[in-house]
Order: sequence, then C-alpha cells, then structure tokens
Amino acid sequence: MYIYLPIAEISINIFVILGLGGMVGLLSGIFGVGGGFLMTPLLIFLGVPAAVAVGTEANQIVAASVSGVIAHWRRGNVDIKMGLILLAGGLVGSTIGVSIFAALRELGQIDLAIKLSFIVFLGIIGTLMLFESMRTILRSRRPNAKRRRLHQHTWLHGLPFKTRFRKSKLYISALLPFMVGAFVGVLSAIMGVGGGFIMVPAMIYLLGMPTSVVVGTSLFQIIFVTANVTFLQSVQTQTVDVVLAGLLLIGGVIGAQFGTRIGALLRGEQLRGLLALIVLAVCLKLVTDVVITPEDFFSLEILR
Amino acid sequence: MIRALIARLVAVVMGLCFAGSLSHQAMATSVLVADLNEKEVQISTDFNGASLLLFGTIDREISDDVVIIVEGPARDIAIRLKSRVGGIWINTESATLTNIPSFYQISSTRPLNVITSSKSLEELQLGLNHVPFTLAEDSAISEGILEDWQAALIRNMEKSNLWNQNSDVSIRKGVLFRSNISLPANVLPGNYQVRILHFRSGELIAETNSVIVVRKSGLSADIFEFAHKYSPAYGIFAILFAVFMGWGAARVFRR
Repeated sequence: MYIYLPIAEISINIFVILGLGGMVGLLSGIFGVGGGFLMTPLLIFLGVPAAVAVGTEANQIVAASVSGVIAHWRRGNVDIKMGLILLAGGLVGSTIGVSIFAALRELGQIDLAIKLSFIVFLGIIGTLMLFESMRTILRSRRPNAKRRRLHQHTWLHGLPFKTRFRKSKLYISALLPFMVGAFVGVLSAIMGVGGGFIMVPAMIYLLGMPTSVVVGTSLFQIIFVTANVTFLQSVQTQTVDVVLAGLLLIGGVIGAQFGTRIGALLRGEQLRGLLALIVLAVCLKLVTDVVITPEDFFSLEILR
Repeated sequence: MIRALIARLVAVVMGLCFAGSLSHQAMATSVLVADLNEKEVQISTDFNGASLLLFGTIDREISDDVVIIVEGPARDIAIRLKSRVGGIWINTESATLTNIPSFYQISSTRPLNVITSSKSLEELQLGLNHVPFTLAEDSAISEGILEDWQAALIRNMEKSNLWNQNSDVSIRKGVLFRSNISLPANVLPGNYQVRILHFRSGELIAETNSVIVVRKSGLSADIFEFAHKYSPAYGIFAILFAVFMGWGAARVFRR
C-alpha cells in the first residue's frame, strides 16, 4: 500500500515507513538517543530529498522523545535544572545550525557536509565508548581492581558560575552544560538528529553525570531543541512533512516503549558497548559511501 | 473496459469528418485525430504514478509513422560533477540548466532515426538528445566536455523514470494507433503538453495537440498549501501534533 507524501512529493510503501519508525524507535528507547543518526540516512536512502529528511526527522524526534521522557520522568531520572541549561545552549546552537544548513545547501555541498559530520562524530564517539565500556566490563570481572575516581578534575572545573546539580550529584560551572548544549544544537540542525548520540557521551564523560539520569535528561532537552528546529525549518525551508513524520512516529513511539523496558534490564556498560557498535557500523557505511568510486560521477537536483 | 474503448474508437472514426476542430494543423493529405482516456491526473494521498492511454486515427499509408511527445512543466536543474579530492568524492563542478522539462516521454511507431532524417529530428527537437540544453548565465562548462554533461542529464532523468524514449506506438488495421503515457510517482504538478505528429515518408504532414493537467488534490494538496502559505502556523501545528502523539503513546503503554 503506497502513500503519497505531500511535502516530500514522492510515494512510498506505508509499511516500509512504519517498520523503519518501529526499528529506530526501539533503539531510541533502549539507548535514549533520538535515533535520527540512523533515520536521516535511511530516509535519504529511500529517496526522500535530503532537506525533507532532515526537517521531518526533527519533528519525529519531538514525539519519540516526549514518549520516551515520560517513562524516565516517572522513575525520577530527569535532572531538570541541568536539562534547562543544556536547553538554553541548544536553542542558541540549533538556530545558528539552521542558518549554516541553508548556506551549505546553497553551495551544493550539504550532502557531503552531512556525511562528513556523521563520519567524524560517529567515529570518535563510537571508538571512545567501545573502549570505555570494554574496560569497565573487564574491570568488573576482577573485583579486586582499584576503583576509578568519580571524575577527573581539569581546567573545565575552574570556570565561573558554579552551580549545584543535586540530581546529578555535581557542582560544576553552568557554562559547561550551556556550551555542550549549544555545540550539540548546531550539529542537531545540520545533521537532522536529536543529538543524543553526542549529548549522552558528553554528559557522561565531559560533565561527569551519573548514567542513570543521563538518558532522561538528554531526552528532556532534545524535545525542545528539535521543536525549535521543526519550527525554523517549517518557516525557512518548508521541508517538514507531517504525514511522513506521523507515520514514522506511530512506528517510533511503539518501538520506543519496548526499547525503554529493554534498556532498564541492561547494565550501563553493556548498554554503552552495544550503542558503540551500532554507531561504528553506521560510521563505516558512511565512510565507504564517500570513498568508493560512485556509479555515476554526475548527480541531478530538480530545483523548484 | 476494452469493449468501451473499442466503442469509443469506433465513434471517433465515425466522427472523423466532424472532428476538424481537434486537429489544429491538419493538412489536406492527412486526417489526424487523437484523444486521451483521461485529461486530468489527481495527485491524492494514494497516488503512486498514473498510466494514461492515448489513442487516435490516421489515414495510414505504408510509410507512415506516428510520434507522440509528452512534456511536463519546465524546471531549472542543478547538475553536479564529483571528483576525488584527498581520497573522498566531492562535488567539484556544478552547472545550472534552465527550462528543462521535468518530464519528457517520446514514443513512436519505429525508432526516430528510421522515421526521419537526423536533420529534421534536430529541427523539430525530437528525441532525448534534442531536448534544449540551456546553461544558466552563471554556469560555465568548457566546450569539449559539454556532451558529457548532456549525456549525464539524459542518463539521470531516465534513471528516475522522468524521461523516456520508446517505439511502443502500435497501429492497428492501418488506422487506429495507441500508446501508453506512464507518469511516475515523482511527477510534478502542472500542465503536460501532448503533441502527436504524423510523418509520411519522413515528412511531417500533420500535428495535433492536447494537454494533461496534473494537480494535487485532497488532503495532500491541503497539507502542501498549509505548509507553504502559513509556514509558522504549520510549524507550531507539527510540534503540537508530535507532542500529542508522543504523550498519547506513553499513556497507551502505561500499565
């Protein structure tokens, strides 16, 4: 059964969209990432124009994150104060990001820019997470091994505006989460992702937050950042397809509900190890995309 | 359906002498009449391409041919060339083509180069390789490789099923011809000009025209209009819709 998507202006099998949404939603629920880093490339692969994939994905992540955050909220796994500061940065960053996106599109380099950004960030984060989780898993098998300190103190802890985050058991500069939020916000707009796959590791390793509150807090702020991107893309580029988003999120929210429960059963380091492997697989696929000699050296874009 | 079609064809043949208004440039030597089974295509929510039937009559002699051209709304097209820079493939050159038909199907009874001379194919702009290839003013491609770019345009448009050249027009009993026009799911809305040409011994002796109107309709047309005319409201609607869906799903799954 095919459905014509009004903004993407193409026709796609409805079950392919629902299935894609469900699969990515499951991962999103398990790991607390928006799933955009998988969904955006897959949508482009299905023939959805890149700009529409990015705009629509932002809209879909709003729903998936609302659905996901409620489960974490009930368990008290959301650090609201931290979330609001990340969000303030995120709103600034994503607004800048939408403008950069428009400029790159003008230059005809948006596809490459999207792919290269994915390769760099997925590669670095995937590798770091994989090593870290393997080390943790190995150490937990040797119970006598020395415990690591909660987090290292560096120059970052000398920044002003020190704030106490009770839920995260942290006393750090508010500038730190603001900058993390802004940086992820820029990438979120350019890459059509919620940014959870960067936000989650940044919260764990850079801010030193406990893993238990990371996922809920990340989802909490992603809701608002992606809502901002949805609005800006609607106004500036008219690339948000609500029909496509609606179908993706019907599959997505169902998948996310199951994912959240599966995630609660796994241990933190296992969760991170698994996510690292998925991140690296996507990265590898993208590397081959830009390195392998293309079938056709030419490509077309019908301008409207 | 087929019986109805035959009945309609017979009616067309019977009414030949009254059909002068349909063939605009009919010359004394030819009576060319053609019609479509549908003249309007609606892009609604379940749209997945459309197939139309074009049929008509000619007073055929042995050396006669029919050529049918369907041309969709013109658009500008950006065409980009990748080359390898430091191990990765990057768009290094680009050009903008203006007024390129977003859809172009040319069907004929026999291959075009058999029907008439290459000179007249060029003059009449028949065939994918004769679609006017106009560069925008700010695009510069060196003369020598212009043909590569044109070939790339044709190849890529064919790959997306937007351009097509075939010899599928069939003629029955010497007078009735028919041909399929297949519009893929990615066609743009607009007016599709249909030209039917009658060749005799390589000479164009008659031409008639028709138009297919492709328009968005129903919910998908409403959403498109909402998104483009009231963008801020649409953005807010999209967000509220997503929040509601996410919240609803979480409620449904609460145990």
